[in-house]
Formats: sequence, C-alpha cells, structure tokens
Amino acid sequence: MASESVKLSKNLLRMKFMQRRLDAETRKQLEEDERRIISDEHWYLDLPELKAKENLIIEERSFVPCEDLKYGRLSFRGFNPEVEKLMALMNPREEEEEEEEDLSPMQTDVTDEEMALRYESLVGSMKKKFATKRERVAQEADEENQEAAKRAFVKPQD
Amino acid sequence: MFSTVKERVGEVLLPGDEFSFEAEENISLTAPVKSEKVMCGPGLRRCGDRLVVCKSGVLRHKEPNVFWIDSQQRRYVPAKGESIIGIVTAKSGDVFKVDFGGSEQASLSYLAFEGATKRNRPNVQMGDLVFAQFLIANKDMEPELVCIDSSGRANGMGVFGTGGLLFRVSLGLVRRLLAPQSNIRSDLEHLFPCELVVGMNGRIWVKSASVQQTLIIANLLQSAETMTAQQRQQLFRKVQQGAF
Repeated sequence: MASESVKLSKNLLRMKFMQRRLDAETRKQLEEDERRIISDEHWYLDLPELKAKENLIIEERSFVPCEDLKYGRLSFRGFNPEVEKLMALMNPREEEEEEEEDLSPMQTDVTDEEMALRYESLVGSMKKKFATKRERVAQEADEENQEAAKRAFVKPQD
Repeated sequence: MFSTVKERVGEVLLPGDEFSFEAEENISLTAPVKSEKVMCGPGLRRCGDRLVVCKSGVLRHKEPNVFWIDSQQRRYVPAKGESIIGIVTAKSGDVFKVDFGGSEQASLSYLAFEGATKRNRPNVQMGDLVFAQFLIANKDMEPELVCIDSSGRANGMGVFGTGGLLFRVSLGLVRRLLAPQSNIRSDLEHLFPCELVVGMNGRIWVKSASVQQTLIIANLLQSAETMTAQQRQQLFRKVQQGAF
C-alpha cells in the first residue's frame, strides 16, 4: 500500500493493457510527445514553397469516355440470358429507360398468355388433389354427363 | 484557347498542328475570369502549354470540354481501363501471359479473377480466350490485365464461352459497333440470335446457333467496314431473306 500512486514508466504506459485505462488526456499527452520526437528527427528542405502550376489540359488516352462506348459483351434475341442481364447492368443507366419500353417477348421467357392458361388448369388440378372422396365421386358423375352429350355421331362434311 | 479549338471541330487536322494559349481579344470586365479545363483525348497531346495534334484525322468534340481526333488504324495501343479479348499463351508461376495484339504480351495475375485465392486457382488453360481490362498500360512498363473491377466483382470478365469464332477487324469498326447509337448493332439485332464479345483491340468473337450463321455474321462484320450504310442495309436484308 504505497502512500502515493507509484510512478509508472513511459514504456509501461505505452503497453496495450494500460492504454485501456488511460483517460483521453494522458493519451493525448503521450501521443504529442511521441510526435514531437519523431518530427524532430525528420529532415526537411529549407526552400521557399513552390506553387504547382495549374494544368489546364488533361490528357486522356482511351476512347471509351470520349465516345461513351458501351459494354463489350453483347447478346441478341436472348441467345445468352446472362449476357443480356449483364448488358442491362453495365450499360449507362439513362439507356435503361429506353430499353424497358421495347421489351419484346424473348424466346426463353414465358409470356403472359401462357401463364394465364397454365394457371387455369393448375387451379383445377390442385382442387381435385385436395377433394374428399364424396366430392371426387360427385365430380366424376358430372364429367360423365357432359361427355355423354358429345358422344352422338357427327357426320363428316366431305 | 478553348474557343480556337472549338472553331476547328469537324476539320481534318494533321500531326504538327498546334493550339496555344493566346490572350483573349476581348476580356470582359464583369464576368469572372475562370480557367477552362480542356480534356484532350486520343490523338491530342499536351506539350508544355500547348495542345499538339499527333494523329491525322477529324477533330471531334463532346460537351463540355472533351476533344479528340477520330482516326483509323488497325494496330492497337493499350490504354488503361479498356476491355480487350486476349489469348492466354503461357503460364509462368503465378502469372499468365496474354497476347492482345500489341507490341508485347500482357501479364494477368491468377489472383485477378473473381473468387480466386492462393488455394483456389482459376481454371484457365493455354489457348483460352479472356475478356479483361487493363490495369497498367503505358509505354514504359509491361501492360497488366485484370479480370475483376475495383470492387472485386467479375462483371462478365474472365474466360468466356466455348465454340464460336474469333476474328480481327479495324479499331474504327469496333468503336462504331460499341457507340451509343449504332446502326450496325441494331441491324444485327434483327438478324439471328447470337452472342458477341467485342474487344477494343480489334478482336471480335461471335457465337450463334449454327456454324453457318456464325460464319455469316463474321463475314458481314468484316465487310461492313468498307460499305456505306445503304449498301450494308441492303446486304443485311438479302441475308435475312436468303433464309440460310
């Protein structure tokens, strides 16, 4: 039990576990001392400050920014859908609004009509799947009645 | 100087023509004097305070202050940021040597692919085609290519597809193909479904549904260099109706 706080050496204070307990002030003091020592050791030229001349001409070696060239990979009519996605991503954004207007149905996509037709039949088949036995029997009876009406012989025209 | 350069936009200039700073004849007393930056593109060079033309061609301008010389050539000179098609010629240690049609071969580090680490090497063989962009391209150093962008994403670069045909065209045709409003590109769009990779070094790779269609597109592009727009459209229409 020392009467006063023990004087800790600078090296000890610089260690990581001591830094956590230090308050901001002491830390700042330490940093400044260090910086002063380091800057004293740096060599510098004792010359007047030279002002860099502002260059009014900027050189540019590539054509790409001059002519606003587009992205190098191209795909037409859905030949490679990944490249089409890349084209939409990489090309400058202003072009995208124009592209969205003329979205022609691609060969690999499903059109809206096909989707609607599919859903029609899908709903019916899902209903059948979850129907109870009574409902199924009733449905089959209905279908047979409908079929019976069409079974009459139709004479060929030619 | 800006105004003197702007006057000559659209004229044919020869190497040796200069634009220098001259005192403005009418210095307005009310408007603030602001220094206008001039961005000079390919074909123009800065020589001290003057702007010197170093290639023969037509002077073009883009708002607000970009000028360049539109010229025709077949030999590619690498420039930073341009994407090209290269052929891998050698694997030496950690680096691939890629031939892009320039005066020397470029180096492509195997770590410059998306998701490549020291243990996980990219699957690149000799003779593969790579779509890469220049990281370093000046006349004093060996050009260096990378297949990722600054955030580490591939963005379509790297080794690309099997099959197809690689052929050479002039640099002017490549620029015409990739221009924002391009007639050739819109003509091609209405022809066959196909895939193209266009490198700024004058190399184009085409792939289509059948070998014949691929060859047709390659021939069309090579002959489109020397045709007027009308002749080209006639040819495209003939091919479309020919129904190969």
